[in-house]
Formats: sequence, structure tokens, C-alpha cells
Amino acid sequence: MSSNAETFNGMKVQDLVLISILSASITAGKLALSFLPNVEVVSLLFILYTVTLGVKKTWLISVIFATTEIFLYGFSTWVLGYYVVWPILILATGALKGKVKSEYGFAMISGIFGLSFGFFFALFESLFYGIAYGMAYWARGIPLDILHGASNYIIAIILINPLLKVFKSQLKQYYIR
Amino acid sequence: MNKKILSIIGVIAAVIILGALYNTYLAPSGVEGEKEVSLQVIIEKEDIDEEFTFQTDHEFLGELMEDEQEALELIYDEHSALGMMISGMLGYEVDSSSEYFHILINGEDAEYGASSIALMDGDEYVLELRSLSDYGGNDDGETDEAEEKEVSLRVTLDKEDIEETFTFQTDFEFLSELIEDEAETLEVEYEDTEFGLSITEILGYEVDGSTEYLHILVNGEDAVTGLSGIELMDGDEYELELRSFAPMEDDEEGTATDVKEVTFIVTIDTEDIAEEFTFQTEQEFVSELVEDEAEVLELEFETTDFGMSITEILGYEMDGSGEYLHILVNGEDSETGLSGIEIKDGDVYELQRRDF
Repeated sequence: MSSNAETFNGMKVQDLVLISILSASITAGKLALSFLPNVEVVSLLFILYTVTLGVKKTWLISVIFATTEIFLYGFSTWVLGYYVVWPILILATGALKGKVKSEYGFAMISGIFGLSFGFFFALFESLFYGIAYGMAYWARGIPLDILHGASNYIIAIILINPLLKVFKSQLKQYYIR
Repeated sequence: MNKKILSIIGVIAAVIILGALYNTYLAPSGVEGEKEVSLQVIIEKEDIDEEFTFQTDHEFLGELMEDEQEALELIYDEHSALGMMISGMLGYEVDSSSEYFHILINGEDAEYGASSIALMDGDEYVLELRSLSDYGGNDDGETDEAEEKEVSLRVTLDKEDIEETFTFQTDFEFLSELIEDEAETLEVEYEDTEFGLSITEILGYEVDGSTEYLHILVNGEDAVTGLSGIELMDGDEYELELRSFAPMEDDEEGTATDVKEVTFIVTIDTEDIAEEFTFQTEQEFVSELVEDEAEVLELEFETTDFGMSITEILGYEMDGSGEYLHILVNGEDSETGLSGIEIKDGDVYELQRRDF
């Protein structure tokens, strides 16, 4: 069977495998840094994958990642929020990637996303428990959002270029377009 | 490279500034010094309404409650994102799947949890156990309020010459809940069985589960379910009447037993099972016959205080909470369980699966 054989929705076998491996890389990345509150590489990896693979494939990666979270932590509103919040980052990166010329741009996207993370979740929680709960949730988490934004910026500015270089060369070597 | 380091330093500086701004303007801030505050704990379902007055120099309600943990009989978890989560007070443990402690500050809903509520001199805090279904700002009481009903309950214990009628105002949904709530008035002892509430003692009389039971009537008619399945309706009259399982004919003990032929029909509508059996038996009661024929009927059962209770029949496992086996004797609803039905030659017994 050729690696280019069509399987599902016009996707190739290698796409299915790649999406699975990359969603696993995000889960592993999240778990590896889970001992540090709100310091994560998930945002960075989603930006990296969106820039190199596009919005559609990265969105599928995020769906698998969010579903894996349910298996790990059980079903709750915050896990459901993952199905909404990460695609926001993916869409924003997809829309801005043509305009961003350096690592500073990606670091800004990642930083602003980290800063707004609690706000997005508060909006989502408001749907379930009301605006008052959402506001309290957001206000309570502001210090953690500030930490999240800053750490996202620092991680992205240091790692995005080396990762882009490695990831693009790997894709060139193994990924048949 | 220098530019990158500079931007990182800039971000760290921004974090420090934003953190300071948050602490100054947004973070809940307490007031230092001695304060007098009152704390009222209301757990309506347990008839608990206690008020405490504390002199404290703590800044936040959570700290004060932690300090007074013993007096408040407080059980709590320290939740990383939300602060103190109260899971019990004054000996009452919260069922977190359905209820929580609602906090009011001077009569108004608190916007934060106990750990973030700044104590102010003279403030009155109320911690009230509420149902999670009330959450979401239905403070005007227009919606979701349980309806109040007036019902009467007559207890008749013929052999003790007891007949008492009680009238209750209640917003409970089921008769079993009302009886549980009024256990003291009714002098009731009960067990929670898988078939619902089962009364073992009432008005000081102990029910002998092997020979008698409390027959339930709703507005003069036989109830088709147990106490836990009877929905309370305004104006309803409920009766609990002590009845014997079998006629008390002790003098017949020595009589010879005859062989009787009876028909047995089992219907499980949900599984499309409808089977008819004919049995020759010398047994006196249907429960004994059924026990004898357990293999043929693929029967599993338990012997409870109220006689035999079938848990599985013809390979179908009963869900004790939502369904039961309705018994018909010669086409009419049986007034007793299997252990109370006397076998007569030619009788037709039906067991029909029904929803409560």
C-alpha cells in the first residue's frame, strides 16, 4: 500500500499517524511540566504545528489532545473548555502566520494567549454556572494568568526558532506532500 | 541575542508591575486589627440554625473559620484554584454532588469563596446549605421553589386499637421522604432497602415482618408501589394499615395437605418474555411453590422481613429501584406478597414486570 493512499476525508495514512504522534507529544509536554503551575509548552507546540502543518491538521491534533485529557482527568467543564480554547489559539496563529516575520510575533501570540487563558475559560464556565461565577473565576485566576502569559512568551521566544528549524527539516525528510 | 534577553527582562518586569497592580487594586484585601463578626450556620434539613460571634484579628473569613474549626465542626479541602471548599459543618457532611454551603454577607450573596472574603468589623456572615439546583441566581424565589402540599396520614393498628390521623404541610416529593422527616412524630423506625423505605416500627408498635405488613392506601385505594414510589399530591389521604400476610387459622395446622394444580404466568414486557407454567403442588403458599420451582423459573430471590423478594426470573435481572414484579391472582391485583398468597386449586398467578 502506498503511503499516499487515501483513507478518510481525503487524508493520507501518514497524516493520521502524524496527527496521532503530535497529539501524544502535546500530552507528554503538558504532563512533563505539570508540576509548574501555568508553565507549559502546549501553546508553543500548537503554534509550531499550525505554522508548519496548517489549521485543519492542528485542530484535529487539539481534538485528540482534549479527548485524551478526559481519559486522564475525567469529564468536567474545564476539560470541555479545551475543545474551545485551544482552537482559538490555532485559528489566531493560522490567521496571523503570514504577517509574523520573527520569533517576537509568535512569542507575542503565545504570551497574549496565556494572559487571556483564564478569561476564555471564565467565558466558558459562565455558560454553565452564570456570569457571576465566571467573573469570580477569572478575577481569582488573574495572578496565574499573568504568570501564564509571561512564561508562554519566554518559552516561545527561546524555543520557537530552533523547533521550527528541526520540525521543518524532519517534515522535508519524512513527510511526502 | 541581547534583544531577546532584553525582551525577557521586560516581560519579567511587566509581571512584577502587573502583580503589584493586581495586589493593590483587584486582590481581595483584608483589614488588620480586632473585629467582631457574626457567623450563622443554617442547615434547614437538619433543623440546625446556630449563630456564633467571634472577636478576631484575622483578615479573611477562611482564616477565621480555620481557626474556629473545632467550634464550627468544620471539614474542608484547600482547593488550589478556588480556595477553601467547605465539605461539612456542625456535624453535617455535604453531599457535594447535590448541595453546597452558600455564603451571604450582610444578607447579600458573596461573590468569592470563604478564603477571599475580607472580614469587616460588624459584618454578618451566613453559611446556608443549599441545593446545587438552586445555584444560578434564582434569589427571587419565583422559580424552582418546591410546592407546598397538605396531606393527611392515618395509621391503623387494629390489634393495638390504635388509629391516629396526622396532617402535614410539606414540600417533599415522595411519601417516604415525608415519613423519614416526621420519623419522630410517627415514632417510626425504618430500613432503606433496595425496594425503598421499609417501616419496621410505627407509633411504638414493632411490625413482625414474617406475619404482617403495613398495607398502604392512597385516597382509599390500594397503593401499587411502596412508600418510596408514592408521589405526594396536595390534599391526598394516605393510610398505613397493619395487615396479616395470611389468615390466622392456627387450628388447621394438622390438616392433610391436598395436591393442587395451579397456573403460573410470567410476563417481562421489556424483554418480550411471556411464559406459562402449570404446577402440581402440595405447598400452602405461592412463595413456597416458587422456591420449589426455582430452577424451572430460573429464579433468584432474597428473603426479606416482608417475605420473598424476587431479584431474577427467567434470566431477567430486576432493577430494584425502577421496577417491580406485580402479582395478580386470578386476574386481580394481589394484596400481599408471594409469601402471603395461599394456594388454591385452579388458581392462576401472574407475575408482571412493571415500572414503579
